[in-house]
Formats: sequence, structure tokens, C-alpha cells
Amino acid sequence: MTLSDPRRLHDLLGLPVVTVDGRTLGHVNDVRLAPGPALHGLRSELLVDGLVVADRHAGSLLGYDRRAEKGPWLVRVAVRFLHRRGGYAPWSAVHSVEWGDGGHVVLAIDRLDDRDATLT
Amino acid sequence: MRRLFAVALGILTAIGGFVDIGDMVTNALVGSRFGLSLVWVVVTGVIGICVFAEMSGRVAAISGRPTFDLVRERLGPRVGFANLVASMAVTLLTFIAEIGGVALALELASSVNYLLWIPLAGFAVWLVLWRVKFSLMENVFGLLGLSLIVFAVAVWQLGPDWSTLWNDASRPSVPASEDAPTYFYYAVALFGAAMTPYEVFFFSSGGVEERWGPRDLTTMRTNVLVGFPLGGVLSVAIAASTTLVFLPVGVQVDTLGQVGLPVAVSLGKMGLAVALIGFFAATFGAACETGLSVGYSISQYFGWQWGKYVRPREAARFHVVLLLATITGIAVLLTTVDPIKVTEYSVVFSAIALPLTYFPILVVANDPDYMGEKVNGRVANALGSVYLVIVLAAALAAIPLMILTKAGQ
Amino acid sequence: MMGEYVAGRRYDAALHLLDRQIVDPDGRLVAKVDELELADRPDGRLVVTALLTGPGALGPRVGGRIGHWIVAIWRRLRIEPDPMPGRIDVADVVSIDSAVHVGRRRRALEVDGLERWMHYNVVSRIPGAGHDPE
Repeated sequence: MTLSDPRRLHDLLGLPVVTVDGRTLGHVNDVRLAPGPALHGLRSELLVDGLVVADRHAGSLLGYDRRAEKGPWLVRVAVRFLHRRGGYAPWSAVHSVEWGDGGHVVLAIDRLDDRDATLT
Repeated sequence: MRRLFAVALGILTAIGGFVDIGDMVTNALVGSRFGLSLVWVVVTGVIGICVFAEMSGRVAAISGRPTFDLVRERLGPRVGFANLVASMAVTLLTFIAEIGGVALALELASSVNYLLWIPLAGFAVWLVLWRVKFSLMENVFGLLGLSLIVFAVAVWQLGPDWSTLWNDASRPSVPASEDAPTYFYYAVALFGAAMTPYEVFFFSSGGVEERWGPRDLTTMRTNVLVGFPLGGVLSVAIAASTTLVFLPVGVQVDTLGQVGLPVAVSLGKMGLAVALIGFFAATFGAACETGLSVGYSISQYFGWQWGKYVRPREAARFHVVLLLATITGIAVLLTTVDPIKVTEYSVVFSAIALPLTYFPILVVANDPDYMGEKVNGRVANALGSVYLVIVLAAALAAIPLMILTKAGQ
Repeated sequence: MMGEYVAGRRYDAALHLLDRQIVDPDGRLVAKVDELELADRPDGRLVVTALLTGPGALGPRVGGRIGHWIVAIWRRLRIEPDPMPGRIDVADVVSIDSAVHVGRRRRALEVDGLERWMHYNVVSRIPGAGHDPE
């Protein structure tokens, strides 16, 4: 299967996520990956399942916005506050991506899924 | 004896945190100027480092990941790099000071000028880091460093009024001859010294060197609960001894020789000899701890193979870093800069490194991916959060206080 | 084989992969996941193709002037006019926990040029470099 030119995750993280009518929903906080179906019975791939969207990029690595963690209360509260709006956008909802500095992700939907942001 | 070896890592880590060259002189100085009115800071520091060393030790035992791995992972490469620079500055400056401290200890023992000892001291430290087995290093220097208990013996021998000492320590107040900003400068300095980041870098990396696994949690905790309080006791003993000898006459302690005076006064030549062994072992041990921590931090930020648990040629970049650090240390010391003054400047960098080091530890200790079931309980989280706030406060106060009091003048 | 991935388990790239330590089957430390390489499939799906390591991959993520210098120094030290960062194909990834485990030995992955340079030119020349730590 021929693939496009290779890209870097860094050029996707932090990009503004907008609707088709230009409304900003947040920024790409993280990229959810899922192992794809096994090819030729041997190896599967790491497919991009969707985008985790948040107000901004900071605090993302703590994962507190996505897991039911029993972490220090102060940290959880701070992170929840920093990521007030946000949610999940499955890849099927992505309309187009312009990579790199000054780029953006355009979604075909106009609301993010709150529920799906938590990792199982 | 076997039991004692099992906690050698904790003791050696504590030596670097509580009785390295900078701390020995600072504690002696504090005793001679403030009496025991800052003991509460040492106690606070001991609890704080116990909380975080236990967390980082637990992370290392369960996941095999040492602390700086967590720093980069949880803060990102950018902020992680800032921490790398700041903590490297602290650790490297301290490493240089420790080599100087070894030379000073040898000078005291031999009356040969310390400058002449520097190349030998540096070479000896490097050789131990290059060649000596990790467990041998921690056993020898950890246990020899306990010779500093002679200071506690000296305090006993000096026959103090225990109730006055107890009052002094439990009811702290700024002495009449000092002002509040200076008092708090030394409070922050002592606290920062008790919780210096390289202690958790060394402790967690040492745990990986020792191949700690989930079954070693009790050993790890014993290391923490024996090592750090012991370190605290040693530093308080040094302060108490100078309180009894220097405070009444208003003499300020500046040199390593003066630090040893109370022991000489109360226990004579034999006592002094033991103290000198203690000085040598503590400074050499702290040199090993900080030298290795320089290598650990850089390697763990960039992902290089590190450690004494592999053949040196399998961790080439790590050992080159150690070599360069030693050469730098020797060169800097030969410019005749005062080794003890060198540690004062590291206070500034400590202020930045402390919060950036302890925050990721607290976060990862709660991550089930890393810890499985052994995530933090409520107590660990509560203590960790409280101390994070204290650390942040100390970090913010450090630089203004340093400027205001001209580093404690 | 990737069958080791827990069925149905999903991973967040920045949370679980980026900046993690890569470990080989002997437990030796290989590198950090400094960057992830992605590509578009013709069917529109985006897929992770490789782990990237080294200053060439890390520099842009550190960003700012320092990141710029990191990349610049790295390019200086490489002979090729347009050097590629260290690359580990995603097919080599076996499992992900607190580290990223790969299936091939460190040496076979060939992502550590600096280590080998130091190994041959500096460390191996010092007596005792092969000393068994046990």
C-alpha cells in the first residue's frame, strides 16, 4: 500500500480544531491510536482512531482529563479547569487537515463527543 | 552487617543530601549563629525527602523507570530540558564542590595544601565511578560516612544543658544577633539542601542499578526510613556541636577545620581522627552520588544507556559525560575558587529544579500504567501535595532572599 | 508481534508513546521516542509508521532557539546533506507499558551513531572498558 510523504506528530499536535463554518472547538491535545486488524495474519498497524481535543495543549500529558484517576485532588482540579471545553473527534469526523505551523483541522461535525474522551 | 548493607543506598543518598561538604559547613555555620532554632527546617526537610524518595523508589521498583525518565515524559521535552539545565547546574556545581571537599579533608589530615590534592581526588572519584561495583561503592562510603556519628558523641561529651537545647529547637525564634530575612534565607537553604533533586535521581537510578523489583518495596522503604532520618540526625549533631562551642563566643564557622573543632575539643585526637574519616567518606560519597547523577540526568533525558550495571563500553556516552564532568571539576577547582562558595551559587538553580522535579514524580506515582496497583494512597498524595506547595514557596523565596541577604551575610 | 497489544486497548500517542524510553529484548536502553512518523493511507486513514529518535527528531519539539541549535549541530555532524533522524519501524514495536519494547536488539536497530562513535573512539581506549560489572 503506498503511503503519502511521511509526517510528524508534532505538526498535528496543538493545531486549532475548527468546524466547517469556522468556529473553533479547541486544539489537538492528543491523537488516539488503535491497533488495526492484522494484515496477512501477522502484524497489525497503529491506526489513528481520532483526536483528543482540548482548550489548549498544556497539561495533556497528565492524562487527568481522560482517566478516572485517583490522583492528587489539586492537580485534577487544575487540569479540569484548564480543559473546560473539549472532547473527542473520531477520525471519520475529520474533514481535512492542514499540517504544520499555521495549519488547522477541519471537522465535519459541529460538536465534540464528551463521553468518548475518557480512555477505557 | 548484612542488614546494614541493605540500607547502604539510602544512607549514601542521605549523605549527599544532608552532610556533603556544603551542608556540613552550612550546618556548622547555622549552629554557630542560630543555635538550634532551625532544627525544625531539617525535620521538615527529612519528612519531605522521605515522601518523595519513597515515591520515586516505588516507581523505579515497579516500572524500572528512574526519575528523570518521568521528568521528560510528564513535562515534555521543552520544560524537561529546562529542568535538565537547572538540575545539571546544581548537580555539577555540587560535584565540583565535593571533589574540593575531598581535597579539603585530605588537607586536614595531611597538612598538604588542598590544591595539590585536587587532581588526585578527582582522579580517584573518576576511577571509582569507572570501575568499582555499585554495591561496593555504596557500602564502603555509606557506612564509612556514618563515622560522622562522632559529632553526636561529641555533643554528649560536651555535657550540655539538654533542656535549653530542647527549648531552642522546639521553640524556634530568630536570635537577637540576626535578622529575620537572614534567618529565612538559611531556612530555605537548609530545606533546599535536604530536598535537592539529585537525591531522588540517585536514589531511583540506584534502585534500578540494584535491580529492584516489586518484591523489593520493603527494602526500598527501609532504605528511605533509615537513611534520611539518619542524615538529618547527623546534620543536627554537627549544628549542635558548633552551637555548644562557637555560639557562646560568637565565632562564625567558615572552614572545614572549624567544623571539626568541637570534636577535637571534646574527644581529643581519637575523635578528630574519626571525624576526618567521616569528612573524607562523606565528601567522597557525595562526589560519587553527584557525579553519577550528572550522568544519570543527561542520559535519562536523551534516552542513552546509562548505569554501572552494564559494562562501561556499553554505556559509552554516559561514561564520557562522567569523564568530562570530572575533568571540568578539576579544572575549575584549580582556579583556586573556594569549593564551599561554589555550592552557594547552586541555590539559585535549585529553586528552578525542585518544583520541576517533584511534580512529575507525584503525577507518575498516581499512574496505573506505571504502578499497577501500587499507585499512591491518600496519605502519600496528601503529603506529596502539601510538600509540593512548600517546595514551590521555597523556590519562589530563594532568589529574593539570596539577593536581600547577600547570601546570608 | 503486535498481538501483544491488549485487544481493544487504545493508546494516546502523546501520553503513551512520545518521550517514552525504548527498550530492547535484553533490557538495554535504545533511545527515547523523540517523535512519531505518520502517513496517510489511500483509504483516508492516518497511520503511525515509525518511531523517530535523535536530535533531528527531538530538536523541533524542544522548539525555540535551543531546538534550532540542536538540529543545526546535528546536521553539522552528519555527512549527508539531508540527514534522516533515527528511525524504528512501528512493526518492531512489541508492547507498550512504562516503556516501549521493541523486538530487535539495540545494535540491529542502528539508531545510535553517537554511542558507537564514543564507544570506538573514546571509551574502548580506556583500560577496563570491558569490565564485567558483576
